[in-house]
Amino acid sequence: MTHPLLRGMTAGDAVLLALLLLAAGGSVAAGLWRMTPGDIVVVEVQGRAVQTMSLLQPSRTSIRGARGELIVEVREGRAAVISADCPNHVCVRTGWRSRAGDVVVCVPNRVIVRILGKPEEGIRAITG
Amino acid sequence: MKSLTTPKQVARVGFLTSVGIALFVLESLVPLPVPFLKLGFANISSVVTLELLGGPPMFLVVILRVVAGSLLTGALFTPGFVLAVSGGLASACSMAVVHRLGGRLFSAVGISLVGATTHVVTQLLVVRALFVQNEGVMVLLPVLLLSGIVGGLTVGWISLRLLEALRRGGIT
Repeated sequence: MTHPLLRGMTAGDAVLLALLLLAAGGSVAAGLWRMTPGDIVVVEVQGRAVQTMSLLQPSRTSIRGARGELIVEVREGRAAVISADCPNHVCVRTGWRSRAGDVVVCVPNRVIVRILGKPEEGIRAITG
Repeated sequence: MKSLTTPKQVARVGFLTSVGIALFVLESLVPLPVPFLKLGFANISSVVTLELLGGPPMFLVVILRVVAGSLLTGALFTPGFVLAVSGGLASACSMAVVHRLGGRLFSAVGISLVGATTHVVTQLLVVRALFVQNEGVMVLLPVLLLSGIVGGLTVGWISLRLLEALRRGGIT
């Protein structure tokens, strides 16, 4: 006999609730992953990784894009495209990015600057 | 509209709409840190209408409630109104679909859960598309989903008890 409070509910309700809680938990985990600071910067031109830099070491790198030159600067654990040969400079206006999963994109140059983290460090940060 | 052929049905839609408006206005009086983080008690009127009268009358109840409720709270044609309309219509659609296809699989609780989560996700997407053009708003998703689940459960449970009481009283 079911508890009077649960009267009228179905097994479908319980399955649905479990699935929704799982989705909520997943979105929390995804959120935490987004919060983790990045470790490396990968620059892709036309889908191919052409350059990898550490986020921890300051650097200034010139990248040949599909249309012209871009300069990617890394400083204080953040990365940004500081100048680019493109009409709208969306990539430059994106500004400084530091978290794992962040991207800076320059569409005319077919350039994607990705910031990646080390997954094991992210997990350590959660349990710690 | 098939379900609105008798005076009794018209009276019921009118009554359920007014209950929904009252709940909508009452809940808007409760101060909250984030304006869209609420349990959605007004949805009790949609769930009960869906179970008692079916899909089309529920759409009527939802549309009338959102317009009249926003008129009363002074939110008509504000961003909050846009969110209430989009969230309300999307959740009404999802609940109608689940009610139609789900058969006896879900009770009012399952239907309300579907409606509430659809409501919050739709609102977040509308905010993302119209008001804050930044991925950053997506950090709100976990909070909104959880509030949707809590609200959906609460509203569904109340609706279930209400439907039970109505059935006992011979109203089906």
